[in-house]
Amino acid sequence: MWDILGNWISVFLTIAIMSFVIDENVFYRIAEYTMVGGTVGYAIVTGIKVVLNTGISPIMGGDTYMLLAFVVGLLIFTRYSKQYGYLSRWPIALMVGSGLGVASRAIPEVSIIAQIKASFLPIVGVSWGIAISNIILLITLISTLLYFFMTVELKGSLRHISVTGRYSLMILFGAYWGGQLASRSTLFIGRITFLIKDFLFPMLGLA
Amino acid sequence: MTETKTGTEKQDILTKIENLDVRIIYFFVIIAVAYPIISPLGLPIPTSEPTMDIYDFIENLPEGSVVLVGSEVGAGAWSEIGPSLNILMQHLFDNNLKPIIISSVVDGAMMAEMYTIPKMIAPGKVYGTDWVNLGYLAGAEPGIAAFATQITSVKPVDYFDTPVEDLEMMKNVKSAADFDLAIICTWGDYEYLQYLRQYAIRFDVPIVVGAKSDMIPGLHPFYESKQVLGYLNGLRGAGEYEILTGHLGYAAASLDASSTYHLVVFALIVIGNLAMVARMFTKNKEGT
Repeated sequence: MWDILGNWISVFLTIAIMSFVIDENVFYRIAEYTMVGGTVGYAIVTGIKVVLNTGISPIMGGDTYMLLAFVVGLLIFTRYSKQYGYLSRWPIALMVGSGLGVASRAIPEVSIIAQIKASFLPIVGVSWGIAISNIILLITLISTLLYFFMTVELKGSLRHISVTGRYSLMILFGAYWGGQLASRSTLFIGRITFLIKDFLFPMLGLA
Repeated sequence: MTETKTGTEKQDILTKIENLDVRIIYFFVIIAVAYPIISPLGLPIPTSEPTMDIYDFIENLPEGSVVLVGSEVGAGAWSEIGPSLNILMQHLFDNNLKPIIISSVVDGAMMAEMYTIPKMIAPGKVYGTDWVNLGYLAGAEPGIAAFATQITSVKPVDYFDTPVEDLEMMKNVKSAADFDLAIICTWGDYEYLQYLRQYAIRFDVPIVVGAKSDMIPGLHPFYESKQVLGYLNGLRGAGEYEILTGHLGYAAASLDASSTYHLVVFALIVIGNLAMVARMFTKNKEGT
């Protein structure tokens, strides 16, 4: 019975969201607020569970070092106080600092060095297609990097190369937009498939 | 060209196209998506190289290998990434590999538990021995880094609040050094980059990504530089993988609808641009 009820609620919420096509209406808002409320509610409960499992339970089990972390974490709530709000900067600084620290130790290798190495591509000893592709990649790489070179004014042939970089970026944004289109279409297809196969077909006895 | 007739303006065809009601566009899109779902077209689905690379790697993993599965996707993008997660998990179970599910997205582990696991369980598979769901991992990248160093430091219990040390499968799995592969099914660029930095660089764990289609332009350079072994391109990648593994499902069935949807959108873009060019010619002609 709960499965059937859940199915009907899913159908109602799906059609309510899609009703936005006609105009914003109360059913769309019900669905939107339900989604936001449900997501936030689940996040709150999950957060409380994490604090209990990784904070409170170890402290109760004797791991007193977690007490320090717990107290520092509670300092975040001081931001609601005008008098002691400055204390909230410490846990935020710790979070930002630790995040930057663990990320930055590997950023040069992952995002810079490996990518530079991968740009050294052969143009001899390979097929014509691969050679042309590699040359195009080299041209777009250099021209795009030059496009962002703003230390001196680019004149003459450098400016032309920079313009090539701009067109390369336009092609990239076009590819991103195409990917966005595919992503959004998939979400839409998912909902239509649900409405047809999990609701309409069983109702019509065609499942 | 417009002319006044009994107080109303008669619009020419170009104006009508330029001001096309969005509801008409939605109508055509719904028809384009619904028809192939009701009556599949059976369009061919060629397999791409990044998908094949994932398949070959998993096929060559020895039985019993431990695979970290990052369910880094919430309910909002489940339609696109869920099929990738499902078919990759299915392949792991088919080959008797041992997945460990984790998620730094709040509802990722829940989605995997509700929508992936019930479909995948093969006879004889036992939770705790053949797979484990460790649930939500808080702390973003520092949390992932700590998890990689020592699993129980940030995940003392699993999704069901069972102590990790009591799980049979986790007795020999203490850190990322014990992982043979990491599969990251994600809805954002940030998640797979975290795993690249904390697992691939520090522990040489091979990384495979199930990504949304709009992430591919940013992800493909990491594939070309061999930092990512392979990737599944959204629903299409999941469909290709379903065909490779022989487990045809939602993704393969939905690709027809995806193709017709893109055809309709392509046609509308062409018509709109032709109308714009025709308008420019008309204005130039009126100007001369």
